[in-house]
Amino acid sequence: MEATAQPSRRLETVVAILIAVATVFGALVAWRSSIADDGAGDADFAGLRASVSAEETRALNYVDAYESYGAYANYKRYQEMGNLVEADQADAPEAEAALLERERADSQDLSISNQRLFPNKFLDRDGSYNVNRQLGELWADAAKENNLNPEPQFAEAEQLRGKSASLLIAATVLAIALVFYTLVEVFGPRGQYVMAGLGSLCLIAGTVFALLIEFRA
Amino acid sequence: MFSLAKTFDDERFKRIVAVLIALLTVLAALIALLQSDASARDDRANRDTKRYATEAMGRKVSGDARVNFDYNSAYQAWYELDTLATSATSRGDDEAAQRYTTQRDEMISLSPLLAPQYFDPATGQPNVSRYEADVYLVEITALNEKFLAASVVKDGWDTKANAYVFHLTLLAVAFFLFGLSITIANSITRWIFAGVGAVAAVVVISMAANTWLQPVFDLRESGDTINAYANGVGLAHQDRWPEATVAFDQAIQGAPTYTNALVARAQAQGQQGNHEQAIADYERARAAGNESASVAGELAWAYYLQNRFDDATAMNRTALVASPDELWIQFDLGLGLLASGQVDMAKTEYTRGMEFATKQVADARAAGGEVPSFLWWSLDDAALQIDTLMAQADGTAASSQATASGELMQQLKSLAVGLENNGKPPEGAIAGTISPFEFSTPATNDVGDTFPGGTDEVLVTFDYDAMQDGQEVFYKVYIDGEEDPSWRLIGPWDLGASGTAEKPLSLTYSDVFVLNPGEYTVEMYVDSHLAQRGSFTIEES
Repeated sequence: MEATAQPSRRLETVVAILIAVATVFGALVAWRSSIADDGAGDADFAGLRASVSAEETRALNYVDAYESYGAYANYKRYQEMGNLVEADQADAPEAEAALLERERADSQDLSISNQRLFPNKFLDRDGSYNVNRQLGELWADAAKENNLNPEPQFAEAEQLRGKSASLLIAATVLAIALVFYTLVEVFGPRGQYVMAGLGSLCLIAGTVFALLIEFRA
Repeated sequence: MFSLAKTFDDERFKRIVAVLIALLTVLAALIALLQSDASARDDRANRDTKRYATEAMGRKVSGDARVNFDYNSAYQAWYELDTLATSATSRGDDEAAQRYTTQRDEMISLSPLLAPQYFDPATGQPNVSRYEADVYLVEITALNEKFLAASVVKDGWDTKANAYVFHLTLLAVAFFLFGLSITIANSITRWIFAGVGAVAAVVVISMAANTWLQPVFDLRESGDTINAYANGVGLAHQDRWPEATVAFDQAIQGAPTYTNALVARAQAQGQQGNHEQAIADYERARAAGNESASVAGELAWAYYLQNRFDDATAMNRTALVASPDELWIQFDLGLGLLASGQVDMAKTEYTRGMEFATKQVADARAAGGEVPSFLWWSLDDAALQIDTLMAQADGTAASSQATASGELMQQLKSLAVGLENNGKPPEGAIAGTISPFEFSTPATNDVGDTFPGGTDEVLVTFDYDAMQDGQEVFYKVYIDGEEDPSWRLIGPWDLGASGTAEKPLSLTYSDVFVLNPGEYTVEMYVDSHLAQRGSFTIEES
């Protein structure tokens, strides 16, 4: 009687300690999972903020750039007209030349007035307007001040969400260990050891799994 | 002995309950895990909806800004210079024409809209629809569809997550009952508690398993379905109906219950005159869950075109139950009844629609606002459809039907003018009489109703009697059934009580423009009452 009572008490003590360990580990893993989940939410929010900034920037840039391009179109039209009239002036009779001179002057005045409505720096060497360069430059300027790339944040959110889910699985395995430890009291001597063994197996598996997830590069 | 047996039973009972509690704990852990997973998927889909909506809005604004430039700056410059070149040519100024032509051709470099795939300089018409589809329409359609798909996914996982929370709550009740059963000495009572706890646990297991087995359909994962639909929308935007139908076929193959694709394919089939197929697709869309008034109204219209007037009436009534404010459906209902010979019921429905239009205008004006242009379109279209119905009947309609049709068309047209110009229906009856219009061309003195292409002026001549100076006179001109508002003319009558009047439709002040080919319908309103209307045709050159 004494001989069987001794190992049973020892087992009870060991199981009590293991229950305490599994509980603490479980709480720690649940905490890390919660932190990861919170991080996923923050990363999602940062990604959405970047999305809004990017689309706002894109919309405003297009409106601005194409307004400039519209002014350039007018400039080019009047400038071309002035040049063409000037070319025709040389061969025109005197009366018509005077009319053409007025038309040329009007066209080139209008050309100059439109020239002031767009940034000349985007004119290429051949005289064409590089609207894509303007769009690119406006985007780069905005990107210096705001985050316009949501992809890294969304990728981070996915990664943290996966981590949170994996840690929850680890916590579940640890919870199952607690169940086995609790059942030690229910079963007879042989069953007690089986339960304790299964519980320990779950405790080790859950802990190792949680550590691997937490410290994965 | 009895005490020993009781102790044994007690121990055994507690062991059984302990094992059950242990198993339920594992189950609770699993459900918690599933709940967490569902919640995470819900969050992800929610984020995706916001992302797609933001991106679609941004792409639409930037795409619109771009197309506005391409059409309103680049193409307009090309068009103006082309017009000036034509004008210079017609007045014999070849040098100026050459200048304008050279300058016009320079404009082509300004925009991809003027590149060969979108623009034919021979016709001078850019394919704006194709350009819009390529620049942003297909892209934002795909984003909008992804937004809708993600919304469905979000709802699905949200429902699952909430269901799991309910299961966990039920499980907590089961735990409580099992715990209570161990503490109670009375064997019957504790078995009752344990039994109820076990039933609760079984219910939770079956409900959780059922929830877990329910799939959450994600259209975004159905291969190329959304892209095929978006391409179809882009093709439909260009009126390329057969190609659009093929694209929608592909989308529906990927997701047979994709209601947007079914509706879009139905519209494409309708545009090709395949009304039976259109009806089949509309019915499938409704069976798949799209019970919107617009789809019901379009289905009713397809029934009407197939002379299934009773089905059209029933479906229009269904649509009006879903959305009683839809004026076009109200008038379609009246049209179906009129076509089927139920004249009195048709008049009742048209009157209801006209009263509703009057109320909408009065309410909007009272609130200091304006009604949507859709209201004017609905009134115009209702009159046009009656006109078409009478033209199709070609004198075979019953006299009561023909009389009612004429009256209703006159009422609809007069109401539209009264509401638009004065905010209220026309009052009283028409005072004067206007004779049928006579059309002529002053340049050639031809009188008739058909004139050759290139005609730049047509005179509308009519006799009038019992008119009063100061009456409001309003002219509208329709070209091929669609009003051209640039010809509108409104003003007080100042030609006396009786005589003969002429109204010119003239472009003689231009040395380039002529009247475009088509069927012209001129309408004259006196104090918002339709007084006379007549038509002539300008032939192709």
